[in-house]
Amino acid sequence: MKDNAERTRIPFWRNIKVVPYLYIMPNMILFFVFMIIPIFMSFYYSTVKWNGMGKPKFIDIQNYLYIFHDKVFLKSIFNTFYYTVATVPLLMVLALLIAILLNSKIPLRGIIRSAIYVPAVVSTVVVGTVFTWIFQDQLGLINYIITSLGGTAIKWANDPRFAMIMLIIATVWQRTGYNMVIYLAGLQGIPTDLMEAATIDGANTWQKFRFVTLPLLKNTHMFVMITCMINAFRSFDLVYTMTQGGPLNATKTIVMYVYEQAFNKNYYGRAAAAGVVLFVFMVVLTIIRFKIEKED
Amino acid sequence: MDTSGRMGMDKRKYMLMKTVIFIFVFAAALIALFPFYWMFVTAVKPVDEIWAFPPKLWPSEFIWSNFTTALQRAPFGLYFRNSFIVTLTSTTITVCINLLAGFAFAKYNFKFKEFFFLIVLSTLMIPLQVTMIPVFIIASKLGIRNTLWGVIIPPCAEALGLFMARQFISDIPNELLEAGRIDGATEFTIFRKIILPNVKPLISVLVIFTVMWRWNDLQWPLIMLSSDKYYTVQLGLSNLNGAQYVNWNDMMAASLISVLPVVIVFLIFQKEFVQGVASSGIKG
Repeated sequence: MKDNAERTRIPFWRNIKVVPYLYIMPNMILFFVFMIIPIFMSFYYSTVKWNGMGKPKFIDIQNYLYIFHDKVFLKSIFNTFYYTVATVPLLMVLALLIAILLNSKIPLRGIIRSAIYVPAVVSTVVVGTVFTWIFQDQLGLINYIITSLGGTAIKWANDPRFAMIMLIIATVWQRTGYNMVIYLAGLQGIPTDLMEAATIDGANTWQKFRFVTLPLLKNTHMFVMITCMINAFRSFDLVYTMTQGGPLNATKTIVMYVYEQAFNKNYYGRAAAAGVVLFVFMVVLTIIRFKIEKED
Repeated sequence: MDTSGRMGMDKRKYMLMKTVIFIFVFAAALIALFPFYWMFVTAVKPVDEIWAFPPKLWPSEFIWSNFTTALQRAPFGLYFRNSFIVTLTSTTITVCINLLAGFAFAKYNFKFKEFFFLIVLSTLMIPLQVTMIPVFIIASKLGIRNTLWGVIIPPCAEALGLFMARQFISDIPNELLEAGRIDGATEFTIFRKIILPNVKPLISVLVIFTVMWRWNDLQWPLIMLSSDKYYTVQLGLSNLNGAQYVNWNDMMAASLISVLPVVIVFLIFQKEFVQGVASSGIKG
């Protein structure tokens, strides 16, 4: 009896049954209001015609039919894959190569590692701004190097053939260091006695790399690959800063298409539909990721 | 004698390999640093040397006042102030709520815990573009669109920091908490007096990552803000970069100033930083 009475006297915010809910509440409210509910709302908006004013009008799957007949949207899917397929292997190979080289005892190792990592802490907007300047057609450094080697200047940001290559170069410059750090952590995890055993067995450097290092880094490869792919799929800042999706839609990615439909053209329904398509791509990537993690 | 000769060969080969490796990674480091150098050189050049072709790798004189004019010309001073407000406020909020929620997920059993955790997990990979339009509408309804609060509040809940907090706090032995409870400490006292003093490395990692992320963020300010008195540095820079006429002196000066806070934070907390990134890789 007394025990019961005492328990009722504890204010609810001290009750051990209530406390955890109070602790997760701020996070959960924000997640629900700004992430979970908006996802469901996106599905709703993808079925309406709405320009931001007045009442949305229900038009079933018309938005989806429109975007899948829109050459620009199809191009944006292609561009997103192009950007992903180009950046992910480049980042993986370069990051792994530099990580392996930096894993040996060389002078200035710490400083060199930090220097290669620094681009990763800089904002993508600044990266975009600096690379716009370096790749500028008339005064840029890259064109100066090309012309002084006897080549003809390239109109990087204004040439549909080269704009995407410029974005890829900027991305590789920015993200190699980050992935290198992850590979370095993976390399630390390889037991040294395995390497010694391989040396005793007469394996040369290449064989050790091919048959010991590379397979043992399987988990790291997967992690780096998936994070690079996710980042590539949602990369927005660089495109927005450097090319805004141009020239002639050559660098328009799905995220850029969504942004443009919503905030430049006020086709909120079409933007939401394109967002849902992007969502499906992300869900597929996520499922692949969990499948891979389960297998290990 | 034969063996010593071979040893000599091996040693020479070894030195040669080391040299090749060193040259390669040193070149990589130079490529990584060069754009910073170019930012600096462009920022301090006299204006007419910006238009010089071939570009001058070293300015004939250093115009240090370019930095102050850049801050005055575009309202970069104002943008910096806004960025500071956004970064400091949102970092404080994010770190506090992540520590609390991480504590709850690590040390309590409660109904629907798995469900709530799944919610957190599911938010990890959703690009902002998927939820952009509804978020824009919700923020308008709440009256925080086109205010700094609109930039600060919505992205405050963030799954990665929450994971880190949960991971780190679950390593604290339960006996410590039980001892506190026996002494009659309330649950919040346990958090304050037992958890917080034991998670200082966690707090520094959370602070560093949140500061970097919020200072560098473009997308939330871009969606939330329409009047430029609330612009952050990134939004201001990004819009100027798309302008018809770009003043590269100003742009590079402002870029360089905007990079300084994060590079300084990085150089001071390098160790924590690299550990944070590396542990995210191992965890995944």
